[in-house]
Amino acid sequence: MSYKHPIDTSFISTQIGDSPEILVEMSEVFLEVLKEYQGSIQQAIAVEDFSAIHLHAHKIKPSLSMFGLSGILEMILIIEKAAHFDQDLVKIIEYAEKIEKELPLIYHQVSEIIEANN
Amino acid sequence: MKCIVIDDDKLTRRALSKLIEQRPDFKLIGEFPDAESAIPEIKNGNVDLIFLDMVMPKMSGIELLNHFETLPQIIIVSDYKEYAVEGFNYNVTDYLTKPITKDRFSNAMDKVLERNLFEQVKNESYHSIAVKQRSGYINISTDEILYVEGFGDYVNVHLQEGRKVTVLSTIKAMEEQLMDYSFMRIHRSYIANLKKIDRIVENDVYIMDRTIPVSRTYRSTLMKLFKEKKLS
Repeated sequence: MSYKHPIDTSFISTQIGDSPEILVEMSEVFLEVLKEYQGSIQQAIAVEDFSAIHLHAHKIKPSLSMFGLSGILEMILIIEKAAHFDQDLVKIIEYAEKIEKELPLIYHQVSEIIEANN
Repeated sequence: MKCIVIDDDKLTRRALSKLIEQRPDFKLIGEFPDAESAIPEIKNGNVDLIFLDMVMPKMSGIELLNHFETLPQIIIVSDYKEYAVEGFNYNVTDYLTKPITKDRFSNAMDKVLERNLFEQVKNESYHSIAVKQRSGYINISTDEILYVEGFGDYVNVHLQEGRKVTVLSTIKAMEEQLMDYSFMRIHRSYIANLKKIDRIVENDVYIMDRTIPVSRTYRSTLMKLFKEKKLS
């Protein structure tokens, strides 16, 4: 199956540690982090709290980088900028929805990685 | 050296813990998702190094730095570059951007060891350690020790003038006992007094008329510390 935003685990293996155990551990934490992000950004958007939107967008960036999700990272950067500088809720919602659509496939890929290395 | 990680980013905490595990000279003793919960551990005085995120809910990294008059060594972990400049006003040891790479982490850890050694040498005048023998405890001046050689449940402490003391201890226990002075584990079975090393040639360390091995794991850190010592 080919994905629009394929996960690349080479950062984990080259920079953190090259073992199936580490990859599984990091992937499990990544799943938790993504789910937390999803809940908190939706909540922040609902109450139009721009500083919280900015913070949540900012905080998820290193995790996305670690898993090589550059396409999602680009969208997050747009949200971060829109929250910090422009307070542009329309743009934030547009990109948050785009990411939201991609998340099930990301979750699926992470689960596949966990399964394959367990 | 004992370290803690303060970061609300769970994946960075986990990545750091994995990287720290790969350094035999460091031990992670705590992970904290916020600055406030780390305060008691820091107050205990049991921490040698803090990996500190700057942007966290409730209490920021800068607020934590302001909370204490004296702090252990700090490595800032953040991708807000402005904190790199601000951090150096607090005499932090290094600054890492997220996601952390192996090389930058390794450089930062070497800086920590170098600074630690400088502090030890600066503060050291006369120190001694108590060691256990079959007949009881004796005191040995750390300045007299050339190196320590481990043999399972006992170690030989090699002293100046060809003297040798056999001690009921392990190499790991001796390492902990000597860690506050200018000593470094350089091999599974050897701890060297850095102040006594004359030269290092490939995998051999020369201390006076003795030669002891240095293993690959410790060699690059030893070389760095040795060069710094010679320059100082």
